[in-house]
Amino acid sequence: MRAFTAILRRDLRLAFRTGGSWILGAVFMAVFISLCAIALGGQMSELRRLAAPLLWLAIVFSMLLSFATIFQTDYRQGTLTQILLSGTSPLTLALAKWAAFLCLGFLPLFLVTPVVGTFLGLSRETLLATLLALGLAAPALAAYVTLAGAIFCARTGAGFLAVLLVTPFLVPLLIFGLEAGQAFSADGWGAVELRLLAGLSLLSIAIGLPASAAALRVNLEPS
Amino acid sequence: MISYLANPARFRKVSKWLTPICGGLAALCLVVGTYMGLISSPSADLHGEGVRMLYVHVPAAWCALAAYTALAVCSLISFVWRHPLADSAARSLAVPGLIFALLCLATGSLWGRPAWGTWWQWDARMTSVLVLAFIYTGYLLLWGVIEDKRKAARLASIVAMVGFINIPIIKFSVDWWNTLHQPASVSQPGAPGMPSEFFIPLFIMMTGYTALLAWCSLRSIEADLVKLKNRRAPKTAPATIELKEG
Repeated sequence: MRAFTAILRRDLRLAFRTGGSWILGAVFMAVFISLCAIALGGQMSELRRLAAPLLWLAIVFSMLLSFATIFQTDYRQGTLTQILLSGTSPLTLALAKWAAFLCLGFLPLFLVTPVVGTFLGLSRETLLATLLALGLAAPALAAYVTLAGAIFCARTGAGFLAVLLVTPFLVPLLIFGLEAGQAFSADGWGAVELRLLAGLSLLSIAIGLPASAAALRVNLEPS
Repeated sequence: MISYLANPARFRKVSKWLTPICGGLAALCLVVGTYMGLISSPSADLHGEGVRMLYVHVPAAWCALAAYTALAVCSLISFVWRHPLADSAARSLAVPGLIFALLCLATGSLWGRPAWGTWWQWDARMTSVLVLAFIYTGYLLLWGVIEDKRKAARLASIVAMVGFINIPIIKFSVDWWNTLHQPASVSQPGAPGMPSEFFIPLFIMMTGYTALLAWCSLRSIEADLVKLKNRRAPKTAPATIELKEG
């Protein structure tokens, strides 16, 4: 637990001291949404209907594309090896990195979502439902992105491959995330889809983080 | 049995007679099955002559799934016991599996045109086979890009196992998604009450496809073993260098 908080605090401090690269995800999201709005013709009525799926896609891609920030620098500097040599288990390391990514890679996007949603003409109820579904799915998204980061921590320029590798695992999350948003606007807290999404999220954490730990161990052990 | 086959010499002893049997069985069943499927079996009431697509489509889907299951089991064996033979077995299944998945999509698309009037529909089954093809592609690319083959083997086995756990979830979620949007889903043939004049050619084709899959996999493992042996063989000749003028 001490190792977990230490790594998490270190990552957050590093991110804040090294010039705000964590904000880039939110910028990407804003650009992506503007491009979508322009490509779709800029009709507010049309955009309102597609707003929730577009927000989801923007967040998923923004998180996927920042997979390299999780482990790559630390791998190249030897920090990961040092952390593991000091007796920290790979699972703790993966867990701490996952939590840090949730704070740095997802939280800015989450905070920007209401603003971007306004540009798409999203109503308050739909916006709330979308935010809730995003919040429920975020741990799972982050877990799979962590897995991609752990697999490719020793490789630069594996962006497309990481996206291809992880996308199939995101299909259920995307489906239930969007369904949960709709169901919450209709049925409130009792919606089945909401519970399914929460369960799926827990399951993905249970699969993704041990797999990340195993991948880290493979990449860090001397061969 | 796993530890018995893990020894390359013993594996070769088994594969020496198993490979020709699989190859012969595949050739025989595919020829007989194609004849029966194309010529001697009747056409169906609902599908007309289009029903003959059944004999190439269903076995391909079955083989794509079977190959992935076997791949995941081999990956588990490779991850736990680290047998190099299990790695090469897992990798040998990926290419045929991907091809069968693509064949399933292609034949399904060709069949969908006359049967449903469209080349593609975001139907639950089609979407999940498409996702399966993506998983195969990612798995193969992972093998391709990582230079250290031992690391590649272990990373690929992790991905294969995560994918295997995810496949039922993907199937379930896609079913949910599809039934929600499209209550009148298309019905597939293959219900339990299939008459025997359709079932017998289908069964023969299934056997043929499965034998073909096994044959491809065994051949590929044998090739890996030969490569390994050649690499280990000591080079007896001294190194020479040739200098050329000009």
